Amino acid sequence: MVNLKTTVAGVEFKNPIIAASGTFGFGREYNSFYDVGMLGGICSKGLTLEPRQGNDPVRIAETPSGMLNSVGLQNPGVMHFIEEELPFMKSLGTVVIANAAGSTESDYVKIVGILSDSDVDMIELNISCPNVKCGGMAFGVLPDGVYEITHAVRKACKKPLIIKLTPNVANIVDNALAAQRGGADAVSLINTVVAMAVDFKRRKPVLAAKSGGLSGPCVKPIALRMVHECYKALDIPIIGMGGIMTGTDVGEFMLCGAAAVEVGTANIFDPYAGERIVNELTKLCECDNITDVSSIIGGLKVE
Amino acid sequence: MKAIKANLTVTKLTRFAGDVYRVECASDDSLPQISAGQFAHIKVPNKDLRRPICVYDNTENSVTFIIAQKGEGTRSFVERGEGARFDALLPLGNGFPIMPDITNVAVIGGWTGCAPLLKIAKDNPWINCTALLGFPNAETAKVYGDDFDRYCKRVCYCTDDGSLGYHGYPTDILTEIAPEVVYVCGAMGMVKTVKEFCAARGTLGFASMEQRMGCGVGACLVCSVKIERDGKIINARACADGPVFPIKEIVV
Repeated sequence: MVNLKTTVAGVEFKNPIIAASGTFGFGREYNSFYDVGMLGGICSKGLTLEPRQGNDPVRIAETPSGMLNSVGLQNPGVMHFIEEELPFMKSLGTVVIANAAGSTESDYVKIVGILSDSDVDMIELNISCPNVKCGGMAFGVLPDGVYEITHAVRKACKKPLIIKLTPNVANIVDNALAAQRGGADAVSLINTVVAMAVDFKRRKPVLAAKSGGLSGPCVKPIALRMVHECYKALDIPIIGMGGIMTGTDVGEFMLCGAAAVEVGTANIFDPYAGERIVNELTKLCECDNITDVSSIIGGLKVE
Repeated sequence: MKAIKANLTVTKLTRFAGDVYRVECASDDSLPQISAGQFAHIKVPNKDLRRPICVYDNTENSVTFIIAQKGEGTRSFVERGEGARFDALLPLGNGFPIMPDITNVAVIGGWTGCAPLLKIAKDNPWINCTALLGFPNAETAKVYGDDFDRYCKRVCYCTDDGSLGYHGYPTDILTEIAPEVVYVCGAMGMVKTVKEFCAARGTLGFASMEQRMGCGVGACLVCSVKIERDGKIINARACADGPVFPIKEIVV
């Protein structure tokens, strides 16, 4: 019997697989395909203080081994989430993480305050969304910005605080350290890579927003490198993500130092992906005589 | 009806003019009930994102699609030919609402857009259904054989070059029909004309909309269709709020 339990910032997960923000709604849609309560956790769609309609379509482009999206934080607002979606999510029997975003520092502080008084188990701060004009990634690019927003939010945050980092930076280790210094309980990485797709016939970008966030297997090597480097430098735990499609992918991220992982794009390719990846991770551990999955965290052998 | 992942085998694949294919498939397991206008999210070879394709016709263990070969995904799908196996999530989305007390109905479609309309007439034989079907020319109309003639009270074929039936757009003859409800699937220009017709006459109308899609189940919010509801313009999901919307709500 494999023990798949893992702990991030004092919160216990029954397994390391968390549905990533923006790919899983609030869990309802996929729950009609399998019991999503079997996942380690679910991270909500990115929430803002007020409802947002997001960007104009086209919002998706297929790319080699991945996809671009430019949704632009469409969401029903944090109060709707707390009143209409959170009770359902809490009934699933899995860790509920609220992903929070804003345009200004005061937005971030306010939304984190509101979520702190709700039943969410953890808060993931989205300072790395590439698809909104103000806020979003603006806070996440420079280490000073990461420190300041983390520090400001920390005071209002009564829940374990995860800072979600963007890979579109000079040195992600500096940003991760800034989050740690600012009081983060964990970091999650990587958000999507800013990218573009071109429709040659129309002489136009595929996405109406011109550029979007690249995700899927094509970004996995970037994410693995960044998780590995951050793990060496940080004292706080890491939630790894970026193109995870299989149980073996989860194992690779954990070896690089991830205490848990988020699975995103795989859900879009196949609604059963989360369940399949949990089962694959179990089999991987059984075949490799791993009795406790958390024992492999950071176990990458580097000469 | 709850969607399933159906394992399908292509049993017959026929190519028609304009690179449009009629793809008949057998299902390993019995299929759930599928309403007119609902779609399947199809896994195509060598691609990660699924392709949303409306269900043209089905039985308990077979399903037929009309697929235009447009890009790499649909090309790799049709190239594998008969015997190819693939999976599809189905049925997804909301189909055309059928009004139990309205019998005088027009379905209006453009070429591959005619595909989701057949089941309206076929599944509801009590409806007095007139089909106005538009095509570039006579050759391209052949993909549907005489299916619409069999299930509709009246069929008007319309062609851009006059090689079959009426020489012009199917929307041109909508006024002659005076339907109580109109179901449409086609280019935005066609939807716009039908919307204006419905608004002017106070006629009920429903349109099936298309958008580049991600998950297909309502979670990822990429397949936005602009809808006006309660005086506000919102981005609705083609996959889960649609693909069929009341035509009066569609922002054209």
